[in-house]
Amino acid sequence: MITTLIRYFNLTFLTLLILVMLSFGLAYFFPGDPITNLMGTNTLDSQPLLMLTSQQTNIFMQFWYYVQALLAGEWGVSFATGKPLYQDIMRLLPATLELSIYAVTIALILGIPLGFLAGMNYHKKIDNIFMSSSMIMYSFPVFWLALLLILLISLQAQWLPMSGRLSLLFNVPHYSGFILVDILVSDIENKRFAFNNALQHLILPTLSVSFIAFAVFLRTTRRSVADVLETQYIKSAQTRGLPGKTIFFRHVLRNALLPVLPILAVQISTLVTNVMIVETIFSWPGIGDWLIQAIYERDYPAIRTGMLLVSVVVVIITMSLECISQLIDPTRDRFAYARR
Amino acid sequence: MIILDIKNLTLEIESNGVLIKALDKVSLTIQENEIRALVGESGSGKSLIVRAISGALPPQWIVTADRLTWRGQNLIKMTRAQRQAIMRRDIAVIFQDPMAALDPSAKLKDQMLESVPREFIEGRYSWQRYASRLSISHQILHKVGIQNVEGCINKYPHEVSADICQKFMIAMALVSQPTLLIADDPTRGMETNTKKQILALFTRLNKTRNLSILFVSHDLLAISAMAHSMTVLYCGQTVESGKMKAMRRRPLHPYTKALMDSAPSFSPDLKPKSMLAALDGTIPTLQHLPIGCRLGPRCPRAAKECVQMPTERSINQHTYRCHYPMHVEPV
Amino acid sequence: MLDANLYEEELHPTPLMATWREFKQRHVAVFGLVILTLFIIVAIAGPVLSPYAPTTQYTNMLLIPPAWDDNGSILHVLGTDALGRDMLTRLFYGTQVTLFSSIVTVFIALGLGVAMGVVAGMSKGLRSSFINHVLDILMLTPTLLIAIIIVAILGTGLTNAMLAIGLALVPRFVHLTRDFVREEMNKDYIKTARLDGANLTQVFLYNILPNMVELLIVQGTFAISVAILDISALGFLNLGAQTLMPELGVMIADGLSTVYIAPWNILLPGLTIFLMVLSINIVGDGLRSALRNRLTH
Repeated sequence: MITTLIRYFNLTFLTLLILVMLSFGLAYFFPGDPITNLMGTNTLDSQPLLMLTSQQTNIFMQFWYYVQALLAGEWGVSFATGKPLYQDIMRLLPATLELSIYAVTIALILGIPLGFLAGMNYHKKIDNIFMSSSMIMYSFPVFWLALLLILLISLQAQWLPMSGRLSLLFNVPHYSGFILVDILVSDIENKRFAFNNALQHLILPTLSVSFIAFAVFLRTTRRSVADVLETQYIKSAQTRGLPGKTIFFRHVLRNALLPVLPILAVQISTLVTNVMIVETIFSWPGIGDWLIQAIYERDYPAIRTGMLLVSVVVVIITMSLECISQLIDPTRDRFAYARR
Repeated sequence: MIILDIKNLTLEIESNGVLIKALDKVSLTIQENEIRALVGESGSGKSLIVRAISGALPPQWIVTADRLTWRGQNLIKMTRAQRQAIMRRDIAVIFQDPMAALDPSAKLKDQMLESVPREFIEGRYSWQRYASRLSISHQILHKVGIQNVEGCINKYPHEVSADICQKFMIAMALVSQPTLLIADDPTRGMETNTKKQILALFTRLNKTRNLSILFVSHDLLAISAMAHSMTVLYCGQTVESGKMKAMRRRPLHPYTKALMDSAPSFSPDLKPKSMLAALDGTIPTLQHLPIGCRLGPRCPRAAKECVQMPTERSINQHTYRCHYPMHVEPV
Repeated sequence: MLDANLYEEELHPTPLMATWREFKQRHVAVFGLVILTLFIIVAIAGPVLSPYAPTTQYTNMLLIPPAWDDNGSILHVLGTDALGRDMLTRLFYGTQVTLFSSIVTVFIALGLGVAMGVVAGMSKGLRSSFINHVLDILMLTPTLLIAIIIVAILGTGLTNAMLAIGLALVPRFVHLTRDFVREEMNKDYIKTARLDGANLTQVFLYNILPNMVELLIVQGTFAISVAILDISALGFLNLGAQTLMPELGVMIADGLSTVYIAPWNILLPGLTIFLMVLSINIVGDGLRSALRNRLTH
């Protein structure tokens, strides 16, 4: 077990290193002066380490100081606003995380149990209904789905708002960045109204993203359950006369979920892409929207730093998921000896 | 006393619009305390019989039989729940590949503990019940012949060797104290030593615990030492059935004789470069079954009569289905 | 009844025929194939079939709804957009652009990915694991980020979008081929071939490749649907195809400004993308099931 942990730690560290090197190298690849791309302006007194980076002549020393600057939180300023990037990103990141976490949770809570239901009734009517609907669901382009939802629900029926995170009437002090948490923790008046309003703003974006993720989770789980039900050990457990509930909860559940975890980990990058697209459509104040505005404005320091941050978050989450799935799966090392 | 009685069991399935008889009027009986061997080539339908008895056939199969009874109770007419109850307590099945039949993500201890029937567990509180289950499991595992019970029980199936897995499966089958043990080719692919151990275990269990065994295999050498009686199956039809000694001494059906001959004897006076005895041809596929006696095209004694299905006749509890049996005047 | 046929002629289907027979049995899959064929015909013959040119502006007929609406006109069956361009023509040309660009992207990614995967699968040691690692990072990064970086370096445009999506798809194919090749190399029929004296290239071309083709076709089909979604998403965000080009994502973005009065400007192109992706997914799923089941029948 310790070896697995060490291996994954090494892997993550190497990956992060490569990402940082990429973000550093992009300053040279992007058009324009590399120093300006690194810092945002020509001189920057408020961020001394970054200044040190720009003054190096040797590229390795430059990189070394760049890493130090990154770790210290001196990420340069943006071309467009001139404000330090660190504050901007830290303000926007929780919004994106909030949307992603809610979308993933809904997709998991609905997708996995329904996937089990479909798999246990393999090729029967319920399964076919789930299969067809999930295929239709994940063929939707995410931006069109979002626009459809806005058209139908916000404009036609006027049930839910179509942009933003919270109505401008409410003023919630920043505590953690997660708006539902912030509302609950703060003591503004009309807390209930503010909470409802925030929920209303959350529904459509979360729905757009979780729609597609749900379909993928359902299909993956169903395939895994169907494969497990065909195995010899389940059949021999049934022949032995073990009660159905025991077979399901003790054998099918674990063996079906274990191969699904790594697949879900790969879905995270698709999910992040979808979240970023949905943010632009709903004007959700998150990293995705900010990054896309940055590319429109050719704001190179912002692009570099934003890309680094999002990749780092995705890599850390994916690697931890894979590491956990390796640790809790006793069958993973089944072939480890054979490979020698 | 007869505990399992199968008479004229027919299994049909529809394939490409045609009804194919995979098992054609198969008959088999098992007495108490008897080891019966079910012998046949691969593809003769042995595993189908096992599945028909245990009720594990997919619903597309059409099952008809004159008699398919367990201790007098009709197995076909029973509800699923009753069938399951019988399978849980009275009949136990062991399969071919032991490692595939065990859940790869659960420890052997958990799989053993969950097989212990509730009726044997003593104790009111859950820790008492757990301890009782554990002690029953330990006893059975010792009886089955696993030396290092403590070491093995905490491992996963892929970490122990195949023979320990098979003994484990046997222990799990025995813990419910069944009356009949159906062993579907349990020693396939095993080395001779392990095979001998398992077969010796079966003989011991049969003598000490009054366990009847239906041993399905195509390994004649192993069976002839151990079994009390034998049924020979060819291509979905029972061709001969009777006591082991009688069949070995005087096989009545040509196929039985061919099977006996095909087991190499390795005796010192075997002439060099002598031919291996085998029947010509191969077993027919399900789509191309011969009419009448299915051995017809391959049989060296076949004649015009053989396109009609021979009826079952018996001499002294030695039943056979042949128009021209050996050692007997044709009727 | 005496049958003149003494020997039963048995039908032994080739693998291709068996796959097609299996595929035919699922009606949904055949339906999807029909729709996909329609799209392909439109994509190839679009310029010939369309009534007008995609960029001509009919300034006296701006924002006309589709023909079934009261204000619509049969001259423009699916209506016009804000600049008076005919919607049906634009849809035809758009299908052509989106479909072809996705297919080309997937082909190139497939070629590169398979080449790298085969090399990685057949060789052992540090070289393969290093390549793998770099590609894994590429696979973990969200496609949009890769697209943003490429647009920042190289600028916008359809070709750059194709490059970005191709880069994002390559690791998937590399993984697939590498795993497959590695598994096959351990099998006995490869060992037989090598004992016969085949060198590695011959082993790949004659033994491994025929077995890999079906897997590649199925995965390639799904990759095309992903590519269509991504290219149109990039077009929508104006990071890929630009406003002048009749690309389906771009059309949706253009129609956003007039969505209150002319919703068909975003509904129709989006519906086209949706149907294209759906039909490809149905066909891919049917193919996968057919390939899996053809041996058991």
